[in-house]
Amino acid sequence: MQENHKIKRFLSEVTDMNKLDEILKIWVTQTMDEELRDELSQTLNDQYGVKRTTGKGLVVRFIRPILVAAASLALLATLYVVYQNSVTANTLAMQHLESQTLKHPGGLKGVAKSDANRTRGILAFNNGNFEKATLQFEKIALPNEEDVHYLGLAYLKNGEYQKAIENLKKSTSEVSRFREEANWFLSLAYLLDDRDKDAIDQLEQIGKGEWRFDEARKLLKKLNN
Amino acid sequence: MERKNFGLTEASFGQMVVDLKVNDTRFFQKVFLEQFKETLNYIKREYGASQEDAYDATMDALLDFRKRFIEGKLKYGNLRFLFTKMSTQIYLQHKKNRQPVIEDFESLEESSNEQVETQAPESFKMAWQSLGANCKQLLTQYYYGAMRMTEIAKHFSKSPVTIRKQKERCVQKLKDLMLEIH
Repeated sequence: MQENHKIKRFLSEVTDMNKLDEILKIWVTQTMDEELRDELSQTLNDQYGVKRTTGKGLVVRFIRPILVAAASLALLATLYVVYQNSVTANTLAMQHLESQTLKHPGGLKGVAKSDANRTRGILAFNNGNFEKATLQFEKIALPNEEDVHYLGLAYLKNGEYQKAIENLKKSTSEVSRFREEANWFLSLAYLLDDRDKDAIDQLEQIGKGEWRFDEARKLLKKLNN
Repeated sequence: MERKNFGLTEASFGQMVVDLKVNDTRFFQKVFLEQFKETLNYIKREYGASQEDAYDATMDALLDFRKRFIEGKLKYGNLRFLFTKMSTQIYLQHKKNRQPVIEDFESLEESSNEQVETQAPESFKMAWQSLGANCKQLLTQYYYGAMRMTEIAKHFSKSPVTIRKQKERCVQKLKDLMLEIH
């Protein structure tokens, strides 16, 4: 109830800037603290080996299931190595796409004209609802370069490869700030659309030092075999 | 003196606070995360705390330290002692159902009252997520970094009036986004 009251007060046209500042100071601090807490936990875990839970008791208690799981994993790893040698470029492309978590960073120009469809599209995209994201991005009245790029990515994640290709192509020009990303994802889209020759041409556009160069080389090797 | 302050000199302490105000937490993390385990172990050893409780208390103290730094409430002096003290008191507070433990750290009571606030509403979080990078940076510096308009203006090489107007537009943008989400 108190929260609703605060939201109403924040959204009201008559609330003065001092009150808005007071509310925003709390909300921004809570949101940023949450982010910082996550970041610190991650660093503590990765660099200092400090975890919130030790899990020692669990290891002793569940030693048998753990051993069973370890044996299963070892078997899976062996199968994976065997499988990797026979895997197609198309399957590899799908693996790359599925393992990639895509997030929209939010509109680049904070004070640009608002479009509700863009906002809903970004939210859907970041929630992993790519079908809804495509519908919302398509409705943007005056789409900018970023909208088109993320529309392409949403189509790709939603399995609509031809539409993904159509949109991602627009981000591959030399002057586009999405060029490196678009080259990679367009290559995946071609592969998933069974257009291997186009995929090869696109993968060759990824230069040394650019994003996903090593993976691109591996896919090229697989395609040329 | 440096030993009492996690190896920080007075100058590097000042730089760390400046960095924190613009939300650059790298140096802060480097200094304090090295101390984290020692404090956590201290609470476990001295008070018999569980790993989770000691971890949460130390983490809360760390976030509170950041806030106190940017608000100018903590000075260079004996940070090591204060950090351990604060972590311990937070642990004891949690343990006693948030009953404040009044010791010699007078401003802790104020901090515990502030922590009663719930999380930011979901509609705000969603709006914040889709807010542009420039607006986010400016509002973060103002609300989270406790920077004054003049400091932010200097940081962006703009006039305070321009920054003030920009901030007002960003707040309006946040309101618009929240209305769209509702």
